[in-house]
Amino acid sequence: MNAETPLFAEQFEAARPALPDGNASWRQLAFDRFAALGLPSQQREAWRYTSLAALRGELTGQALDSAALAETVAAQKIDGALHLVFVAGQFVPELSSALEGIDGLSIGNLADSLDDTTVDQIVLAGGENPDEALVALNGALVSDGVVVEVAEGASITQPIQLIYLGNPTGLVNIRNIVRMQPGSRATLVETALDANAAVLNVVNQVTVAAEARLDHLRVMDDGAGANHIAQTRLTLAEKSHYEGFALLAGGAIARYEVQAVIEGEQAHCGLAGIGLGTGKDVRDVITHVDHAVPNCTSDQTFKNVMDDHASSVFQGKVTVRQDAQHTDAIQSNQNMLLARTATANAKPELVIFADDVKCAHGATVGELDADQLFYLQARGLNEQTARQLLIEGFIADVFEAIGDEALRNHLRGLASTWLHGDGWGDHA
Amino acid sequence: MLEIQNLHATVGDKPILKGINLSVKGGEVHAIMGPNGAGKSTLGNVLAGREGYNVTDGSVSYQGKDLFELEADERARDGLFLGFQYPVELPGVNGMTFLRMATNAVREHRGEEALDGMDFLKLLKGKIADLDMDDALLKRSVNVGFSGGEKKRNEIIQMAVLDPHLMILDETDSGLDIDALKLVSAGINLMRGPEKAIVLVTHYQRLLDYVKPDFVHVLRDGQIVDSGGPELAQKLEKEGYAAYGADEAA
Ligand SMILES: Nc1ncnc2c1ncn2[C@@H]1O[C@H](COP(=O)(O)OP(=O)(O)OP(=O)(O)O)[C@@H](O)[C@H]1O
Ligand SMILES: [Mg+2]
Repeated sequence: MNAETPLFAEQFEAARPALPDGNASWRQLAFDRFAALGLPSQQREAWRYTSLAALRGELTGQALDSAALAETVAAQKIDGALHLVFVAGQFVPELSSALEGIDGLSIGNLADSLDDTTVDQIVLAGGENPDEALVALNGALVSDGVVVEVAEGASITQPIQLIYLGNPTGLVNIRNIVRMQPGSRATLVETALDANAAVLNVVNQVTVAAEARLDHLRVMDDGAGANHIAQTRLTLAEKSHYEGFALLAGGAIARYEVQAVIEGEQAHCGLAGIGLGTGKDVRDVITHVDHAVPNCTSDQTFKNVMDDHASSVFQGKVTVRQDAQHTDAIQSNQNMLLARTATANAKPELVIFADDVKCAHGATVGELDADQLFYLQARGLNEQTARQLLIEGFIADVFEAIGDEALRNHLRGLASTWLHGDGWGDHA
Repeated sequence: MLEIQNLHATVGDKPILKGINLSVKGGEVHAIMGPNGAGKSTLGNVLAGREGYNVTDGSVSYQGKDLFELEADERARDGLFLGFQYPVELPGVNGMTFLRMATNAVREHRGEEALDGMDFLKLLKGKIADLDMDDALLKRSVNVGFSGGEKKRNEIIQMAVLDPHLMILDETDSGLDIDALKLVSAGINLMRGPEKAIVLVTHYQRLLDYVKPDFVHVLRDGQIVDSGGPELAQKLEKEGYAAYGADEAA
């Protein structure tokens, strides 16, 4: 039992009637797991930089009018994608694409897909140790999400885009379950445009079967006060490929966590991301790639640009278990600080039990280069433009991790928009 | 075009320029030669407005205006071009994008319309053809991984496209192979005109065989210690700088 538990228990009881399967015992089970742990404190290393203070208040709030949001949604939809729109944590079919009729793709919103398998998967994730408490809380309070299954050998060319917005001032819990069957391929994009949620808590459970590939992009374009906490739990089978990319641009707190276990040989796990922060923003990236078997590769590339009093965190852990010979794991975290008051925290951690492996990690912290600035100014660009060009140059190569050109340009455009927004580049 | 009077400048606390006087008129080509460390690049940097170079005395007027009233980028938009001795690498900054932005900054300042991608490409193709060069370099990040000669060529392309009035070319001939030197020289000659002025900083007479200067100056220990016509460069090539005294600066 934890000191905060009574508060959460009250709110849990109040929230249940409105939730799908609200009174089911599995929700109680998940809640009990959460209650036993309580919210992770900032004394825990993995939560040192992410304050959960917003969760200690009221968890429910006013939902926004979904009709008013149609325009916002339209502006963020990726052309040609299959769109699933979640307003205040609930699937809104009227704003979404038709989900039937795509060969090899079975997709539905979670609230309508709560069969035994899915419920087990929800409840059994999280709750083992205090760092996972929010996964358990998500299980207790989940309102919606998707369940996606891509059939064996199927290749879904249309990106699947989940859009989260219109969240109330409370806590929103979304759970997505993605099952990539052997030899299948798909691209999943999550876009959060939340203007005001206290906490958007998204948990993804992804399994990539043999020879399958998932490209998984996350756009954290939340509004100024929002806290967005996203965790992806991932297992990779033989010869499978996962390519994750996250843009941590909006929100007061954007936290991107990936826990990947590589269980099959010759698999590859790529994680890349860009954190942009100003004001007092926190951009927190926590990764753990666990190499359990031999002959696999992983590659992590994260870059941050922090202005004003913003801070970035990269806690990237790679475990190479004793059997995982011939692992090739690289990790790099580069930071650019635009103001003396901005901070970057880079904490790579390699835990290696095998002896024949290649593991490399590097972290750098720098600022804008005066010679480069002068060169641009000597060609007529004003200081502001010169700075933006250099910052965009600094992050440019990270986008190369996105294989699809249209998506790459979409993400580049979003980052560029952020960097041209208010509050950037004037705190030096 | 450019009037430099009694210019003194320090880098950090160190006095480097110690009273430079130089007058450059439209249509003229001046060459500045001098031993390593004499202050040639410092002069270029001071004129271009680099931070950290402090003017402690003297004045410079450019097109009738007090040059030091203008920031570096304003000078550039006003048509002052510094060809860098060591062009800077800009990782992730695409050459084409960069040059179009610079071109439009200059054009807007001149009251001309900004060029869109297509129109810029047209302008660029024309200039590149005049220079007998190709645009492969512009498709990469600016100067990143370029050879020394390629960097210098890239400076010339930028100069041709930006169409400045006063060009200060700091050792643009260094590191060029024989063919590239001819191309670069031809590119510089294309820029000559009654409204244009060029200041060539060079160590070698060879460049001056291709780009005939009207005046040659010797810069030593922060001062112009000799001036003359093209024959002065030939004399320096043979005799070096010994005649101007032992080099205390180095
Ligand atoms: N940023 C700096 N910090 C300290 N000293 C500097 C700096 N820049 C230039 N100097 C010094 O100023 C002096 C003049 O340098 P400058 O680069 O102007 O010489 P130069 O005539 O261009 O020489 P070169 O022919 O070798 O290019 C040198 O002694 C140099 O070390
Ligand atoms: Mg020099």
